[in-house]
Amino acid sequence: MSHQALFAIALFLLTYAFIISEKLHRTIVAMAGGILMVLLGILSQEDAIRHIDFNTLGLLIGMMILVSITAQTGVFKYVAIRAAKAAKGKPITILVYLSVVTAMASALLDNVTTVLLIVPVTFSIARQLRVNPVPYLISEVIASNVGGTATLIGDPPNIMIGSSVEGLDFMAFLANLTPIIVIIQAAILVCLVFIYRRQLQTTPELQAVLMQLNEKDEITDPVLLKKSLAVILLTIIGFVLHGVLHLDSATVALSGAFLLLLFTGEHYLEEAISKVEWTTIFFFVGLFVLVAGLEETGVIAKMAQAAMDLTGGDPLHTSLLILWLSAIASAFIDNIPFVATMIPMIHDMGSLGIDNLEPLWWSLSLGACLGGNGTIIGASANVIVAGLAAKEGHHITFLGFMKIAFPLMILSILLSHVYVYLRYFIL
Amino acid sequence: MLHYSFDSSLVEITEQKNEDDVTFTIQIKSETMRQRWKQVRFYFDDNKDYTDAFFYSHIDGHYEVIVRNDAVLPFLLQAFRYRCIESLAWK
Repeated sequence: MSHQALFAIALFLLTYAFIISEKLHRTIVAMAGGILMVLLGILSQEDAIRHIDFNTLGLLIGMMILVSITAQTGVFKYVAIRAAKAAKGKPITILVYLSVVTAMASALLDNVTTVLLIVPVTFSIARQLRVNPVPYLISEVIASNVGGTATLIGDPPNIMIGSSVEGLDFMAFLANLTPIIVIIQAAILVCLVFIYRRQLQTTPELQAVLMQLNEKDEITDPVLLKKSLAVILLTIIGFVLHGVLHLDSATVALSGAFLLLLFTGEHYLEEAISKVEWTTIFFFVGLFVLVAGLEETGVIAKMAQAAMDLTGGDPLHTSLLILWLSAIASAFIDNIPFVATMIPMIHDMGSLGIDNLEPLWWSLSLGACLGGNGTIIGASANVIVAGLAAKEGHHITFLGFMKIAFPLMILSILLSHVYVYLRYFIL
Repeated sequence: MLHYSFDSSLVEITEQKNEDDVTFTIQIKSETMRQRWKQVRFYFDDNKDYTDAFFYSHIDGHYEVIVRNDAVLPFLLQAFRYRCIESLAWK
């Protein structure tokens, strides 16, 4: 192994360690690592820029702009209150309905955005019914990670996989991941209802008060709502057709975002741009450059070869290894850098003899996205919700979360295991 | 003690003290006053504290606002700021 490869590995591991330690903001660490790759001569600036996946970045930016404008209309509060009323104010049914709303929203929006939209109204509903909000928060965070797995745009790992693999378009994700995600979400909800059925109790009087709420009053700007929903619908149609139209997903998302800004006018421009999570965008930039260092120095190819040796190059064993490894790793470390490293490795496995890489991609997606449910630090949405809950006086401890979520994560990976085996190797 | 007064031709406010919070029931009698209360609501919806004041809009048009004990003063200050109440004083 060359000196440059050793430098690249050392820098990568050091950066990874700093990201896990959370001593410094992960964006600063990732960018510093990426810049050092260039400063140390491991990569040229041209190579570094060539490896930055602008499709992933464009898709994230476009969706963030769309969501930030739509959120101002109050539509998410409207939907949550409608769901609570549809549940007749029964706390345990509300848990199911809010989880389903969260999972569906998360399939189309970023997970963190989804929980930031649903958590405030959850606190409000829980207070009205005088029940503990924590079961709702845990169910919602799990649903956001599960729902996000269903589509190309639901979770950053899927965005990265879809962006780097020719042919894995929006419809391919829908056809391959959505069916198993529906089953997993249903199974998890059955477990959650069983776990929380006694804890979530209220009085008929409080239920009656909730049924008197006027959800229509939550809509703050009906004109903006109509424009936002029309553009979101067009954008979704764009995602469905982007493979046929030979358009990258970023083109669809950015078209939607700036079409909405065209309709709403410059009044919304500054705020929409400022609400883009630039720290996340630069985190991705740093990671792409870091992983590029490993790729260019041949480290990724060696890792792929080692994984192939371990599984004997058998596609089934390799898929299942990726599924379980991704799940366990993602329960404890950020799934974005993990997936950024795995993507070139799986590409290399293709050149090392595995003909059909599709099961490997779906295994990576299922493992990395669902694995985040294992612990409170497994996904950004978990950390955000735990932080919000603690700020409002409801502490979700590491072990308290793990006691509920880790077995559910294992259940979801077992179901995925069976699905991958049956769908890609038996049927 | 914190005291406030309001124009009862425009709004009627009653309150009920709970263990950790206070429930304000607000009957609004004019569109102008409804817009003012919406500004108060926007202030609390927009801040980073998700449990300081919960606004519930009811089908019959009245508002129920559940305000955490430590947020009662900020709530009344905002109500005074947007002229939802006429006076606010320590007595």
